[in-house]
Amino acid sequence: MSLGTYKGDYHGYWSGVWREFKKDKLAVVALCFILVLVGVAIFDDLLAGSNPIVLRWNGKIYFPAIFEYREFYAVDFKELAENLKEGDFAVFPPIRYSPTEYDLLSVLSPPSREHLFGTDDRGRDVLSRMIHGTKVSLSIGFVSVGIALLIGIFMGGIAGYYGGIVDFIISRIFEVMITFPVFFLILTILAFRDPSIYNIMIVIGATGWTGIARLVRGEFLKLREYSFVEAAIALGGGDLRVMIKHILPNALAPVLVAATFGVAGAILVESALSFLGFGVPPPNPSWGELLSQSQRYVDFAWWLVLFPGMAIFMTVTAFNLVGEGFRNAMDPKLKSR
Amino acid sequence: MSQVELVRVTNLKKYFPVRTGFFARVTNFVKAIDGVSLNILKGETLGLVGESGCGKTTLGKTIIRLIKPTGGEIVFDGHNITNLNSREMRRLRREMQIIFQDPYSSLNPRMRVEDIVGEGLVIHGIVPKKDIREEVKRLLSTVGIREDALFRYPHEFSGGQRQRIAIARALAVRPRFVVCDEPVSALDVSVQAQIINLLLALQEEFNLTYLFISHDLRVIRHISNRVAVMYLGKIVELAEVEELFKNPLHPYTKALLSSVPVPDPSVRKKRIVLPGDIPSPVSPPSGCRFHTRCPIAVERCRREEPALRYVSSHHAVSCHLV
Amino acid sequence: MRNILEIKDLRVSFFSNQGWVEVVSGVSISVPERSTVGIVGESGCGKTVTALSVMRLIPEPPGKIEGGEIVFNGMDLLKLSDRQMRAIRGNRISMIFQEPISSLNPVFTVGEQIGEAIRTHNRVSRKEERERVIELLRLVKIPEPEKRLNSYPHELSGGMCQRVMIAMALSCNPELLIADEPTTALDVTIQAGILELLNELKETMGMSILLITHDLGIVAEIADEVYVMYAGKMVEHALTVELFNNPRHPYTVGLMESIPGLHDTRKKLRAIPGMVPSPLNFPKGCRFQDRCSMVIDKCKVLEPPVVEFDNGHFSLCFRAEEVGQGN
Repeated sequence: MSLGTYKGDYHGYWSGVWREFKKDKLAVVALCFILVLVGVAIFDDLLAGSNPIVLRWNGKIYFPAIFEYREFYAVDFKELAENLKEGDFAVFPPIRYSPTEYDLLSVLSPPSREHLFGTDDRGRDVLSRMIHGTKVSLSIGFVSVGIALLIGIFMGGIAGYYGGIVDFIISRIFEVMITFPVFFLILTILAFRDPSIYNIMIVIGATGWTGIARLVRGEFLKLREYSFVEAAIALGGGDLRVMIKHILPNALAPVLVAATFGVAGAILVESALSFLGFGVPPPNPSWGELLSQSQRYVDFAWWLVLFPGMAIFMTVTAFNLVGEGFRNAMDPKLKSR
Repeated sequence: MSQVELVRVTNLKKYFPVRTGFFARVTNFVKAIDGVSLNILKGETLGLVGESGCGKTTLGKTIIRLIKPTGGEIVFDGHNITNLNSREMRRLRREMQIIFQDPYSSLNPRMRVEDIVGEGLVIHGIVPKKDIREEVKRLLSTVGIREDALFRYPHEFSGGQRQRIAIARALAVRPRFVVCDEPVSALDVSVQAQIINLLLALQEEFNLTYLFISHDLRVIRHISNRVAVMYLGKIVELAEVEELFKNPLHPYTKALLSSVPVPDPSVRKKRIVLPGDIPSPVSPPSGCRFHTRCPIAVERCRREEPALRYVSSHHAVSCHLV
Repeated sequence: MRNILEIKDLRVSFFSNQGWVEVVSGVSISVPERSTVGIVGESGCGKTVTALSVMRLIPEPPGKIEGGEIVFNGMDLLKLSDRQMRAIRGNRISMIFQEPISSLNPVFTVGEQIGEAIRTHNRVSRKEERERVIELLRLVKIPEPEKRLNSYPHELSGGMCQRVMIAMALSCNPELLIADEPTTALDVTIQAGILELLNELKETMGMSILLITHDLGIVAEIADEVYVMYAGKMVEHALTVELFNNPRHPYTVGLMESIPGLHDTRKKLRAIPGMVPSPLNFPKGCRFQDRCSMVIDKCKVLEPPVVEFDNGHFSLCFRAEEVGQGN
């Protein structure tokens, strides 16, 4: 018995999806943009800060941007760098301002060589605050969607798999959750709890799972009827094995697309919260918080509107483009076009 | 083939609830199987034939407890398995397997052939972990698939090859009883013949007992020792294969047999064309369920439900007029 | 007898992600007046594509009719404009499909759908339309046509839906009906009724039927002559009785022997080994060579010739004379 010919040479499902995804140039650009943002978020201290990345002082090497040293407690590195001994050196980040560093002499100054994106009402460098804000925005986006995914997959999964009374109860919970306007729910909760970054993540995650859960429930309900799932049960596979090995991997594709859109949504929600003053507490930087400052100076401080606004807009657009790209790559009906 | 019973089903029933409204109240039942009794002997192939919606697939899945019965009793190899819980049932799954109709939905598209065929081995610990690959290779060669299939995904195979892989998966746990649910219906004629040959050879080699479900009387005739004909959730006739095809007694069986197109233009025959459609299994007709379409029905058929009774030692029929 | 349809050397290609592939390679079929012609073959042999070409329903792109002629009543359909073709399609040539339920629009009643088919090609009053619809439903033997008129497709069974599809196809008294696997999705008892209906309609309406199927049994029941297709090629043609009594191509013989339930039961069937080659890599020479029990060296290099026998029986095989003799 010969195996005959194979259709093409791609193997797993995901490599096929990736191959399709790559055809969408805009989505690829958006994905690169997101990767750059992730890089900025991870290496924010090396990109913007008042502490040098590498410092040789008295013949010893230090990395003050990454580690804290007792020797330099409350030391101003700018002064220190100006008075270095022979052979010692200091390498500063490209943006030499920390996001929390006040400079009351240059409050609300427009973009210049000193401050590329200008300064805010306390003289803090906007670019530095935006770089550090990337970390806040992205981690709120990813973590809250991660929480939503965990709850959503769990709830949707058991509802779809077991059906019956379990499904009935969980479905009613979805319906009740959906009737609340999510944004006001978040505002209400944050009014009672202190709006730390973690609380914001939890609140956005805990209110954002219904969409994912409904999607997962639908997929589980559909896949439950597939013969390969029945075959796995017939082989003696337990519920957990069937759900995790057989149903979940096949249900994941549309869920991940929804998650990508979810990240964009979470970033917007965080920005909106910060804009209204319920967001990340000061002095933590965030894009929404920068934008909220601009309210007061909007008649002249255009840089406070433009740069954070662009950052939010581009990031949200990039996530949506990537989500769109993956959705098209996974949908065989669109594929044939 | 012996005369020893492997499976005995008594008065088996499966009603699916029909739910409506916000509170999903049960308003009605689809009576998919409504009082079926039959036995399957060790080493034989019992053919189960009927048209779509007659409940034959539900019966097959209920016998191996993939579907929980509503009533009746299933005895497998002397043990009553009707009410075993899911943990007890899982252990017993080794003994009974199923092969599905659609070779495209019966293999997990995200798993490689090695993991698909090897899954049963892992679940039941049939061979030590390190020997799994060898065992899977052996199984694949038994069903006629080259071993370079091991690391490939299902979409890389044709329908016939996928059906072979599904058969290898079922054989992996070394079952005694296999439900074949329309295993060749989705395949082309030439491939269909290959799979039928394979199933016959495997039965011989591994001493398998088959419940072979099909709507295709030609396939049923070729592969079965005995045949049960199902109509609307009930067995209407049960006989040895040659007896059934030569001497059908139930009017439904007669109509079914006369409907089969014969690949011989010289015997263009007059068919018995049944009027109307199969009634809904939600509200089956009173009395004999076939009376609404039966060409010879009398008043009694409308009122009284006929029982399946033996007219000779190997031939049972449920009809008042036989 | 006059031929109502003549397909001559039809070639159809499709564009795939691996380039152009020819799925129908030089097929010629003649359909005489008032007769039923069957095309038999397995999935992917090009039988449906051939039928769709007659209707000019090949989606372009990715499909393309590369060459040949399709002559219907003296005019080459491939040379007609889209507008001229629309006047023929559904009017003089109609088609029914495998999936009757999905071929009907779920939001309109069957009466409205048949009525629309009538209105497309005829000017009729509301009353005439209704009468014609009832007449058609009666013609296809749907009980209580006055009531069924107002049913939606989901209220009807598969067999009934196929009857409705046939009624639609017959609405303009076509000269040719193309039936693509009309009973494959139906149960045997329902299938028997539909086949009988088709046979009757052919007589009463004086039309020709081009029947496409994978089932030799159905062909034996209602076709007057048969074409056997394999991998985009026409491999054998004969009158039905002649083909079954005296097959002249190893593939036809193999197909007949693959049918279970005819010979000794529970014996090994004489299956055709292997599987249909993909159009992406048809072998050189005869396309059946890898699966043929009578293959010789010549088959692997040369295209087999058309060997003709009596009564227009032809076979595409080097050893056509020997087929069915020694076996």
